[in-house]
Amino acid sequence: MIGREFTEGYYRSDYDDNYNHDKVMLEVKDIKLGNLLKGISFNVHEGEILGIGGLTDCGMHDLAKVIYGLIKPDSGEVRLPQKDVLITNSTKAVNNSMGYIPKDRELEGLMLAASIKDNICMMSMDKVKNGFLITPGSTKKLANEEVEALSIKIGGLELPVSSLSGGNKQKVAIAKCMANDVEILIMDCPTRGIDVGVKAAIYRLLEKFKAEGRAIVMVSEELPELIGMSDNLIIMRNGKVTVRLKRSADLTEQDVISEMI
Amino acid sequence: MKKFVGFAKRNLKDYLPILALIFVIVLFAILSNGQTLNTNNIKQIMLQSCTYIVAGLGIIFTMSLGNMDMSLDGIVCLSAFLGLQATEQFGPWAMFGMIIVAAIMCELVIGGINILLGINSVIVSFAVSFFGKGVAGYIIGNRSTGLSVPSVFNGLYSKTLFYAIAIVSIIVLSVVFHYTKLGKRTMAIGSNPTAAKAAGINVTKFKLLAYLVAGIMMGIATTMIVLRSGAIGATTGAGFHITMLLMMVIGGASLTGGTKEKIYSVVVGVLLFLCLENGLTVLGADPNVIGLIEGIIFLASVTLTFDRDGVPYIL
Repeated sequence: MIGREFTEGYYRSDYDDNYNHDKVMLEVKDIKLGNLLKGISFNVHEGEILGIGGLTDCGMHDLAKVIYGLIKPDSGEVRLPQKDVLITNSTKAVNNSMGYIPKDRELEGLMLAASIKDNICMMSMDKVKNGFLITPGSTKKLANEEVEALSIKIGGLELPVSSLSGGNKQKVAIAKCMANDVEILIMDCPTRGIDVGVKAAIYRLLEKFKAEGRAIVMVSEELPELIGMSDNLIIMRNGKVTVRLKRSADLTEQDVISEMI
Repeated sequence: MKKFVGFAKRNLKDYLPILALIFVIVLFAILSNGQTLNTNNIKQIMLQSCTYIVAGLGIIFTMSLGNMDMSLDGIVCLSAFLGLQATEQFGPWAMFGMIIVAAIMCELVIGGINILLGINSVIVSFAVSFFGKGVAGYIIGNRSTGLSVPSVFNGLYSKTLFYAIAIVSIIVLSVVFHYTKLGKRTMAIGSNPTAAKAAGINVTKFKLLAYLVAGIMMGIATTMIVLRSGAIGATTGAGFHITMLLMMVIGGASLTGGTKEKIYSVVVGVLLFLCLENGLTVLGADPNVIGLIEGIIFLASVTLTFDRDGVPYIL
């Protein structure tokens, strides 16, 4: 976590303020949940990568689930101002172009025994259906498009996801969201347990999504990744936000750690 | 050649039940000197298979959720009883509606309790089975007159009608199961309910819809059983759940549910089971030996189809 060198071209290299400040995509207002979250608020804009960091039990993983509607908060609301809807459950979140990549992709994100094709098309059944029918042709086409766009290394669309490496499994989880054209992507530890090569590929994908104007919330336990990728960074401790930091080349891990513990 | 071997290896599991069916048919035809291929015998098997196929086509939906259903005997007994009881109060035509509504209610109760209280479906369905058999058996036992199908429907028990119902069901449910949101989503829930929820699938709604389909098909199957037997007693439907489970598993349906479930495993499983039982009977095998053979085949099928990848946290 500490002491790794930033290598050139691994994280983002731009340090300008380059997201759309006028278009709020996601509005999180005063979320409270038992002892875990004590009034969290923030906005995410078009083309912004918002990093949320802290120690693993600071409530950030639960916050990700609350935003996506998987956990019902005690109070507070998650709103999409562009569509004027409140997110109260995951079905509503998916119908309004939100996507979630869980921390534990094997247990929460993927159907391990199911084929790669079924996994990729899992979220986008409404998109691929033709009237009432979901034909093998349309699912195959969508899955192929996503495999190509994310350059996932697979032996065949019909093979089970369990046959893939950790990095490619994660790419399938991302492809699942992308297949449904998500505009707001919530990623919980997107590079957990992934080798360096695929990690870099995932950072390039994040940059691409940012350039396409998607809003990204990245919850992570890795400081270099948070500092290297986020436009704005929120650090949490014991369910509260301790500091909000802007992207800058001068930000160091030491600045952030002192706020985490 | 190498490519072909690889393909065959990968798909062998899928086609094993079909190969087994062909093997069983050929084996018994040889052993019985062609007696099993006699037209009357084949007609008998076909007619028997209709009821099981119709019921199985519904049960595959709940099975793909990973929910085993052990309540079928109770559902058949209770809804058949309620259906015939209704004819006494509301006239003969009430039978059809009552049977189907009763079967749907039973399945929805299982689904509802499973979802709301989070109790394993095997336990809930056993409870419904005991309830159904208990209620129907108690009232039938206390009646002075028997319950039989109204005479206006005597003409309805015909091969043509049974075949037609089975074929239409196979076509309609194959489409629903493999090519619509309902089928795809039930299979996704069976594969990994947490991931299904995270993918925006309304788990409660689609679980209940799967149980609804199972209920409708159980209703139709019960109607067919009632029409075929003409009268019912406290033992109507006895053993139906075990037979059905056996048939589906030897047809290749996975007890753990998930996206590998195939509708043809119902049809193949029913035919395989009936051909096997019929063949052994024609050869004059002891009924206990038939049971033993069925048991061995059941174990072998479960071993082949049990989806270990899908349940990493259990094993």
